Amino acid sequence: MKITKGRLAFNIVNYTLLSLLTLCFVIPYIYILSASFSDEIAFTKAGFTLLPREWSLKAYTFLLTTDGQMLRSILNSVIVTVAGTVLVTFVSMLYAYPLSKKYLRGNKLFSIIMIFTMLFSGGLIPYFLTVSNIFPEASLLTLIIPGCMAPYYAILLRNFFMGIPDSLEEACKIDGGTDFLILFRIYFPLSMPVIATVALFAAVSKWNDYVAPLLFVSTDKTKFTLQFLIQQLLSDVSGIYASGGSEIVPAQTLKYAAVVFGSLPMIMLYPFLQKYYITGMVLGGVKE
Amino acid sequence: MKNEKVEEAAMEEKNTASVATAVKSKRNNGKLPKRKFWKDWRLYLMLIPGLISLIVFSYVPLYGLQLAFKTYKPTLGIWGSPWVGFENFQYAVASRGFLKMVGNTLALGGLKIIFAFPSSIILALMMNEVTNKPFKKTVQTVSYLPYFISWVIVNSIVNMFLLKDGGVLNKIIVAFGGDPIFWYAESKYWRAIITISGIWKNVGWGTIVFLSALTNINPDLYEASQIDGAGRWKQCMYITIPGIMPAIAMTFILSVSGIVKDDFEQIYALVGESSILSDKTEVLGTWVYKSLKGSFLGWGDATAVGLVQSIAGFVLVILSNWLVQKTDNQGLW
Repeated sequence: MKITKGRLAFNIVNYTLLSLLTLCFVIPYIYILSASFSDEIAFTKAGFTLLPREWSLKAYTFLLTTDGQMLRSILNSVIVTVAGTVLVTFVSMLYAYPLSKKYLRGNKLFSIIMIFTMLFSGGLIPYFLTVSNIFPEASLLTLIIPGCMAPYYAILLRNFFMGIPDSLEEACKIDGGTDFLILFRIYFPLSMPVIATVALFAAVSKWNDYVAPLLFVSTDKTKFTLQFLIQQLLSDVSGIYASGGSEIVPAQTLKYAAVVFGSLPMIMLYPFLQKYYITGMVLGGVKE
Repeated sequence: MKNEKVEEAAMEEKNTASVATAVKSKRNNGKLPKRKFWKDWRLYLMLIPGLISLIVFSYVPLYGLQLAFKTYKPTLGIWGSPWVGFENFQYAVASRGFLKMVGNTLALGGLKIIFAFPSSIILALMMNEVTNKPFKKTVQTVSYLPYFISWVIVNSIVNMFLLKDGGVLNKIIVAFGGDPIFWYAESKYWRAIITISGIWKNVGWGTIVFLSALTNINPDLYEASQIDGAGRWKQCMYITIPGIMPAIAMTFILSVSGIVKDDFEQIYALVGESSILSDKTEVLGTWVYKSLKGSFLGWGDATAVGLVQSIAGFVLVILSNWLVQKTDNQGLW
């Protein structure tokens, strides 16, 4: 194909704009990384720079060695993410399987019960009262159990299940297999791509959530998750790490070191997970 | 002759048989006999954990919406608190800054529809024009990245740009001889900051739906149009955009209720409880949250506001779905 002048001009503009845009997505993160590896005093003098003026690991060592708050929050986040992900994937899968069976009586009704909750919610105050009635104390369970049935994930799973030929189910039923056996032995292994997708969606949203901790565990420092701890640090370091004692608190740089802890797992993992995500997004568009 | 007769008889028999089955199936409205409930008890059992979760965490709060018409008394609980009719709604509307808050919510929601919604479509179209595979892949991968970090982390990035001393934007302004701006003391910039940070986080992710729609367009159409002398621009207007219209319509339905449903998660992460910025950033969601943290006396009002917000969001989804169906595109249902 010959390239016209207009086409060439368009290409140059297009590639340039996209390159600039790509930099816009990366550079902020480099600034944050640089700040986290900076010496506190040099940082307060020079501000944000692409490379640290004076390298220092002080912010990291401070976070990891001071009164265990950081480690505890990381542990809490890991517990909530792992347990929450397993639970929500399992419950949504159990709900999705019967919905994928056209012959099940009441199928429509159960779909409507589920979809209605996506369109209409009770709002913050009734939700808060409900959850805090069930869990009166600040506890990690409040971050794991509420919302353990996610309509959006169930729809993704149902759409995928509907694509699996019925003949497999019928053959298994003739051999005397129950629905549970069919789900776990036949559908589960065949649905690995979509189950991975759902689990990853769930893991990212659990790891990144700070609103549920803000509502339910903000009174108890030992229950803070990592994202919520970072949110507290960004607004007021002294609320978490009171100054005083022999050690000087690297108040600015430690915020950014905490940010690196909070974002690194997802940034490292995500290039490997990308393809699952795209499957999920495409599958979500499939309708009955 | 004999053979013929046998054949005829056999044919007749077949005919009557097929008529009989036809009559039979008419009697059942052409459907299979209804399945017995108990045969599928295991399937119903599977629904139970999900149903419990939906009931407890979605439907019980719906039931709690009656608080919008009551004065909350902690000792009496939601059920026992006295009814007050529409008093809570009147109080909420009359409270200081209510109109400003509604205005902020609608303004931020409107900005999102006007700028954030088309931004993903434009980016997808730009990516689609790229023929260099590795370049395209890199742009895609990098642009999805911000979707994976939390709003709290985005807040730290906003900090990085906007801090009074040492913030990147002020450094640039000073380098060009300007005076540093105290971003965190001036509310007028914050609608733009919230909109831009929203686009930054979601624009790349939003392209996925459109990119997959773009790959489904028949390439023959482009070839045919080229022979007819259509340029790039015409191809884009008459083939590409109509080709991804269903995807655009669906995204539109899903995002339109965002006009009334503020992004509490984003706004609270970026602005927190700053009273200086609240002039332009206080939205219904942040106000409801503040009422929750405040005295229970305000809970009725806050529930009322939440109820109105839910209803408005619901109506908008239904309306936009109806509108999309009207204009010949497939809606959500």
